[in-house]
Amino acid sequence: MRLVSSDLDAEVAGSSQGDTLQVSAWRDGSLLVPALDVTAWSLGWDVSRDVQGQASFTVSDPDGTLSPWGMGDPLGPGGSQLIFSWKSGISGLRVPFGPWRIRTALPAEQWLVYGTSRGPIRVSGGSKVQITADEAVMASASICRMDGESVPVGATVYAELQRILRDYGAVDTTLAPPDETIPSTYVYPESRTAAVGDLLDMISAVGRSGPDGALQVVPMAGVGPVWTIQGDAGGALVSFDRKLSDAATYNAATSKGTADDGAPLVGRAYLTTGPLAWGGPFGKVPEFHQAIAKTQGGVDADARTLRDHQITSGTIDLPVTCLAHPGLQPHDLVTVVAPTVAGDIPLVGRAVAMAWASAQSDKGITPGKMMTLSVRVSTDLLEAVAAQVRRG
Amino acid sequence: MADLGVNVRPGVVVAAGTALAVNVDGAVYASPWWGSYVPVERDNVRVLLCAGEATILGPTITGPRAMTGTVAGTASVGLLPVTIGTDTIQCRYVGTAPSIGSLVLLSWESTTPWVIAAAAAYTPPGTFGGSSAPSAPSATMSGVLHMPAVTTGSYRSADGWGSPGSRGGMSLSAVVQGTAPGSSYAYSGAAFYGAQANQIAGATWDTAQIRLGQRLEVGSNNSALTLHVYVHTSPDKPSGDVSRVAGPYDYTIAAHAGAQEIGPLPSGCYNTLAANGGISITGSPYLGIVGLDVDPASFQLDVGWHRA
Repeated sequence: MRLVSSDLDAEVAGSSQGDTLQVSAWRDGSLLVPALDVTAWSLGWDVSRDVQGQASFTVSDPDGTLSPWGMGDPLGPGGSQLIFSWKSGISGLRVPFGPWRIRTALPAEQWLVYGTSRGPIRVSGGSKVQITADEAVMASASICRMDGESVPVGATVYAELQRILRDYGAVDTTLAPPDETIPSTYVYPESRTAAVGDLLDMISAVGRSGPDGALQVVPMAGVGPVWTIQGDAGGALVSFDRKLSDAATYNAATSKGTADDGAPLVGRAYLTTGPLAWGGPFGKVPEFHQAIAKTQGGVDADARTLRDHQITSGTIDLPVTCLAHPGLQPHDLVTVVAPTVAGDIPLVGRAVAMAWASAQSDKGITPGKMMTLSVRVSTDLLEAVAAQVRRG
Repeated sequence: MADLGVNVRPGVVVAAGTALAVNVDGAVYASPWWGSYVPVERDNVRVLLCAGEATILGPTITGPRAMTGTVAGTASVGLLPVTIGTDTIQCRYVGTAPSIGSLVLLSWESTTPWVIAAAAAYTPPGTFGGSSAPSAPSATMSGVLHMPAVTTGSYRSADGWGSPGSRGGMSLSAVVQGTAPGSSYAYSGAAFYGAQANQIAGATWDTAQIRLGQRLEVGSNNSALTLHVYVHTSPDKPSGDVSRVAGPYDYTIAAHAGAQEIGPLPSGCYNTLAANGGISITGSPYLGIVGLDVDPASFQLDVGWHRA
């Protein structure tokens, strides 16, 4: 959660009035435009992307002064950033979204031509600038590739995350799992985002952008539950679907590693119960993982962790439409109260994709009251629901 | 031919009937072997998997191997102890074992080396020229980190960080110290920076300045007043007031002052700020600075730093 507040949860479930998205433009740490006139926007997150958060804004520029020509202009894609916050029109609560790096700018400028004694002159007739922006730290990391970087002997994951990202932003390990030493044989890929992904994988963690823009390191299983989405009066659930697929569903984990003397290590763990049991009708479906462990016990444990992660953190994505919660972040756990023929059943899942956009109302442009979520739940959980529904 | 991609995997040499093979993650490959390698059972090897074919490259070791060693003892069951630096390894030999203390050439075609006596002592001609090794792009060793406040607000015991309607029109993000006329509850303002200071973790802080937004037109707004600046320990807004651990550092704010930079703060508070602390203002007189609603750069912390 970007902001943990029961007041905010109540506002999300209640009615809204006069909410705004306050957007400012920055370059090199200096505030250039305190308040942009944003006429439309959309925000989207997907944890399967290197850069999870991607946004688009349409900025009104009545006198043409903001429409960029140069890469270094305030709204040019040469390193300028947008920092924005959602602000409640009722309570004045603010939810910060951190800095987002401008990636493209598309000004559409019009001209007025006046005849003067010295001939016709052109005056800007105003412009609209369409901007796409990505969450700043990972956006910068995605274009600033690694050059001549190697892991210092004995370095740990957090020290290296901090070091390879220190020109682009901060790393926040407040919620992170325990640190580990990086294997001496690991070499960095050329892509900085892939290097970040490798380091996070070594500690069974995932990343997301915090309200301060820092890369937040959180456990793979998610954080929370932070919010309950239910369909009763006063609830936040609008619609709820389910789509079952065997894609990215596994019932075994194979972890591979190498001991210090070069000896190969393989650990395997199997799912032995339930409808997806190894060797049952679902088949034998392994997931492979490169472990940092250097002992047989280590790769065995890594395989068990991976298998348990398959069970607990889930593989089935439920499309949910709910009232928009500005505090919700990717990898937050939410409780979706699913309506079934056997009654309401709470399902705890992880938000893996989110989309939220502005809406046109009689108050002008306001943040939309609805957002769409993909909530990843475990097959075990759905099986329990199935059992309850079958029992009636 | 199925495409396996190109992969190098660790393997171990195992017996396969009367011959030798290599086991990679449970799969067993018999050939081909790299020519100059003489395999022995239980050797740790690397195997190149490419275009549907496994090539056994040879044994892997942690450090580079030595060319020569010194005989350390007498031979036993066909093995001769030889020291290389501080390590002693067991080697095979031909004919009569070389005498203790003699320098021998080591032949490494298999993981157990053979000794060939006697090697003449040798002095390498100078060192390898260091200037020819490529260097990586230089790292940034100093700079100024601009940390905009993530959240600003003011706490008082009556209504915490504020709730709808409780502040009589004053923005919840305004940063205020002192007691408003007619009220009996004093404000303590604060700015929070999240984990942004981690970006320069390990660096030395040289200066820290605060860029204030314009002064709020409240209280004795026509007089210059003293702002009491403290440093607190919270990265995010706590449920109660912040814990102030350093200060006050007093700065005079002119009547109707616009945005301005104050500081540098004394260096004694830098460790707290580097540990993701923040800025607080408290005490009399009643004085306020606009918050993030009005000026997104209000209470921005500008930190000059360098790395050794």
